[in-house]
Amino acid sequence: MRLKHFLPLFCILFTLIYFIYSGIVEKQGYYKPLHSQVNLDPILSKSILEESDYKLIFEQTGIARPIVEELKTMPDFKQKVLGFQKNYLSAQIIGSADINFFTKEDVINDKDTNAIPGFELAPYHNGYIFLTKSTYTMSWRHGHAGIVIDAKRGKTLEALSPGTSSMEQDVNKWRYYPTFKMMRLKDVNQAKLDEIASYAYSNLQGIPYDIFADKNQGQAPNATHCSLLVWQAFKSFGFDLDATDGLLVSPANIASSPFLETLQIFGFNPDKDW
Amino acid sequence: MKKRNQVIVLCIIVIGVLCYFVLRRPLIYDILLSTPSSSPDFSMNIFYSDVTMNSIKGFEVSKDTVRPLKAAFKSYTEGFLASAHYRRILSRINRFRKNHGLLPLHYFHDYYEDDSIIIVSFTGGLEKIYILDKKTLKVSNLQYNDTDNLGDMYVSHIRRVNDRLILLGGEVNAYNAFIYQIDAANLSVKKAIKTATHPSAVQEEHYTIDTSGNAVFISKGTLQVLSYERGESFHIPLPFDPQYVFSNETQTIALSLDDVSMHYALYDHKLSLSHTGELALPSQNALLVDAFLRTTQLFLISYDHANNVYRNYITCYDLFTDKLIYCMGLHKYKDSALLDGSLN
Repeated sequence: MRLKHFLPLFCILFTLIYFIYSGIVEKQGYYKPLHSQVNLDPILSKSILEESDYKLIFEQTGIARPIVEELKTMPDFKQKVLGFQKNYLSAQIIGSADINFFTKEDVINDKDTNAIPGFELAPYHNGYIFLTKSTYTMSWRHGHAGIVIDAKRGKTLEALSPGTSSMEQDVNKWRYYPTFKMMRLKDVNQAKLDEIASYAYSNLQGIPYDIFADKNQGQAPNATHCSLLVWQAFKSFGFDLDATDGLLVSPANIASSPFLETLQIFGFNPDKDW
Repeated sequence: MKKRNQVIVLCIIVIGVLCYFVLRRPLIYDILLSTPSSSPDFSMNIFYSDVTMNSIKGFEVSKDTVRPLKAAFKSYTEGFLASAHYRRILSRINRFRKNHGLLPLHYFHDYYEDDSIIIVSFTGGLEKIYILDKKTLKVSNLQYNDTDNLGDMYVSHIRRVNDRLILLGGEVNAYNAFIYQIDAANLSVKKAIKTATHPSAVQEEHYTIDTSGNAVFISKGTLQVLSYERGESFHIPLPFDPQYVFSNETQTIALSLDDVSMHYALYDHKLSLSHTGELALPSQNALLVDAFLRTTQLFLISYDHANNVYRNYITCYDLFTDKLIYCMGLHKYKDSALLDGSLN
């Protein structure tokens, strides 16, 4: 076969494979809860919840015990939990949006294909980690990660995509993803998390994005990507969030970290880290 | 062979041109209410963006028409700016920073422009505020004592009041606001005040600078005012919990939306109550995108997620009569949302 015949054929095949793979990957990455809706009123009316109650609430709402405890201090506790249940068990229409030529993100759509927020964020604080599986490049569903740096004004710090630098984002953008996981360090007080968030805010903004940036950059990284940014923030305080201890770190590695506990899930399989 | 290649190239060009016209969908609109005697003349820019903020489209809206803006736009936290201008400004600022041994910055938080200067604010303290001469684009920093730099903030409002620039920002990670009075001639900070704000006042549309330079914030059942002259806070009671507050050259208005109507309280340049009222929203459960006050006319851009025909409305109310005097319904535009507007 001559080069002048091979090249166009290769381009056509590559394009076809790209779109086919993208189509396949688009359908993955969202987990629909298997449980039918259960009436939570009797449980939510109890003054003291048992372990089995927290387990049921998690199965029905995606919110874990620490969040339930925090919501119990609020006046509209029952209403809030039932709201989480409704969103968690609702069927989602998932569309996709292009971040760039190669990378897409899944978004929750209404019936008119408008991107809409699909769930409420559980109460969050500085230093909490947000994760999603809803971004992918061709067949690689790499996901995305961010860290809450200003809980009062609702801001995360994220490294978004090639050609950008790490920057603040509004937390509400995460509500548009069909998959979401909120995590935090286990057994660490909020003052320490505030310190980590403050460090990230002061030291990790404006760092250029590089998908191949690795962990060996010391205290003053000059390149980052989404999960590396989160890793860099916590590593500065002695917490290595990479579950695999490799040279590179991904959102999936962070999700599997034994140092973290899950606070809220949406569209994630509750029996899997990622 | 040569002729065949020419034909192939021509076909590709024709297909490309056809695709361009097919894929370039216009913004469809309907004038739902417009009476010759009372409907306002106005010009407004509105901005649509997709969820990634990569695909941004601007339109100019007047009483009778909507036409696309030719310029490409880039977003910053508090709005949209023509891309070429954004890049030019950022390049100048980063050149200035490089000359001072600082790393480049990439994303504005706030942008202000008047007849003579441009002020670009990045998240941070006073050191992250840059002033550019509008003619030469020469970059300067503010002049201030270290004790005047109250901390990191998100600048949301800047207003020129006589010979001063008033700068208002929300403190990072706190329910406080910083208000700076800056000498417009030499860009030196004359006064720096920190005030606690209600937890509901966290975004740009929750506070404003009025015509006299007072900082005004929404609060529970009141407007909280930090006086320009006295540097002290006081509260103006309202018959409703305000959700938004806006100012123009002479007036300030507080707004609160419920399912079907909007309550407002209008104040004059002395923050004396002019009057209050209730206005019908263009549709049930409409949400506010933006609002502009022009003497006795209130313009609203609203959003209705449930409407099958009109996704957004541009409405104008006569605040003397509390009547809706103009309404344009905008159809859904691609996969984009109408995020911002500005009255020209």
